[in-house]
Amino acid sequence: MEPKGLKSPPQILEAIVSAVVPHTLREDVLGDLRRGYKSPLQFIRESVKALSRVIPGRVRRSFNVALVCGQVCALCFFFLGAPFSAGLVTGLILALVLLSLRDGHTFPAESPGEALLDAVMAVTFVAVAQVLIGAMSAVPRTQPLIMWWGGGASLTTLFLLRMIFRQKKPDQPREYAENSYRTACVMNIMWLIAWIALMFTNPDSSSHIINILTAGLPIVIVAADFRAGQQGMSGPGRRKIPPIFYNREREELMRKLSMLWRSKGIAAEVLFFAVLVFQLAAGIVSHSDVDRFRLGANITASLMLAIVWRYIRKFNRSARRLLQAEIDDLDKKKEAES
Amino acid sequence: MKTKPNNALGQFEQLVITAIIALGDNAYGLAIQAKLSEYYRDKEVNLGSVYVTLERLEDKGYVSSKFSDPIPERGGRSRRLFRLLPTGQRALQESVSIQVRSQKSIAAFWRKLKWSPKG
Repeated sequence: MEPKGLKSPPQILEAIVSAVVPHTLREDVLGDLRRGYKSPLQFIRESVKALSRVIPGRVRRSFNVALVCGQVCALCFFFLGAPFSAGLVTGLILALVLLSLRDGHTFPAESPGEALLDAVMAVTFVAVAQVLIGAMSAVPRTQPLIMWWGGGASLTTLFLLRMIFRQKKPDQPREYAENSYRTACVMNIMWLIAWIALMFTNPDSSSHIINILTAGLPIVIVAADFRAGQQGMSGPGRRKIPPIFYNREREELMRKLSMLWRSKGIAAEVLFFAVLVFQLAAGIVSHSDVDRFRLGANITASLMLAIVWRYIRKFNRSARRLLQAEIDDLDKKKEAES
Repeated sequence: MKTKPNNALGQFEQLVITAIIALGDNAYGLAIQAKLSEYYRDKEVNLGSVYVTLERLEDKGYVSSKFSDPIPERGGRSRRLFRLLPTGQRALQESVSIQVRSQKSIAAFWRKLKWSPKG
């Protein structure tokens, strides 16, 4: 219901502005613009002026270094098998800009549907830019197989990354702890897959023994460290629990706790990175005609993954703290009951 | 209690908070923009800058907001009404006292220039 005599902007203009304005500011911006409405031209001018400040402000506010690094990895990394071309680089940059704009638009949280839509849009940008520029010029185009494989892998990784970084914080502490645990597990697995995939694109060493060793060792290191975190064959920390505290809920939380990366000691991490550096160095030494572009991209991707690891560690620590707090809470309750 | 240096108020933030105080229960985007234009002696203020600053102040914990009931003049949309919080009051106090101190030293500097013997 609207008072008579008041001018209102054309619906189409209002719908366009509504689509562009970030979610949480829609009510304020559209209401204020409508209140000050004089003519369609004035409405467009005011909308453009307001959005020129609101959108960059939102992008700055929602900027997350870890998410951006992860997205760069996800996009660049899975197209590493493709020849470097203007189309690929343009598509990657456009996709990253688009994702940053979407971050600002949907800040502070995204629904799974929105995260999937963003991932689809970003990957489509890369693919379309590749196809278009490849069709218009003589620049070599990515092979369809690499595009399908890379596109699929990028889509999944981007979706997961956006779900991790842009998820809504649950209100209940238990739900929050469980969510953090799931997220940390997904991050650990994704990170490991990314490293393994990257290792396969590194130049091979001329020695088969070195190749086999460097391919297998990182997995062995991670598995051994994970096993050590499980605290023995009988299960996660079962021996240390006094019988009075035995309960399924607590055991489940303990199991989850043992699945996360431990913050104690850095021996496994140092060994893991040392093997990776050794593998890369052995490959470079063995090939005098190594592709410098590819090598540069691999080193950049490795550095990015190392940076992302810092955030993943932090996330693991925080998830561990949350789970531990839930365990302590359960213990206190049990103690009070008895 | 002193506010952290990185949470210190900028000039525009200080003016926005002043506008919120002046408007009382009617502090929302468009009204704050009009008040700021008054402070700037009818110089037009971008509505987008007002929203961005209000959100930043809310992130810093200096202001809080709530939505009013839908209003027909706004096409059935609500107003987001802002209120200054005690932390915001302290930040404003601190910011004003810094300005007063700097004004004093500027005044002292000018006096010194004016009174210094020429020879």
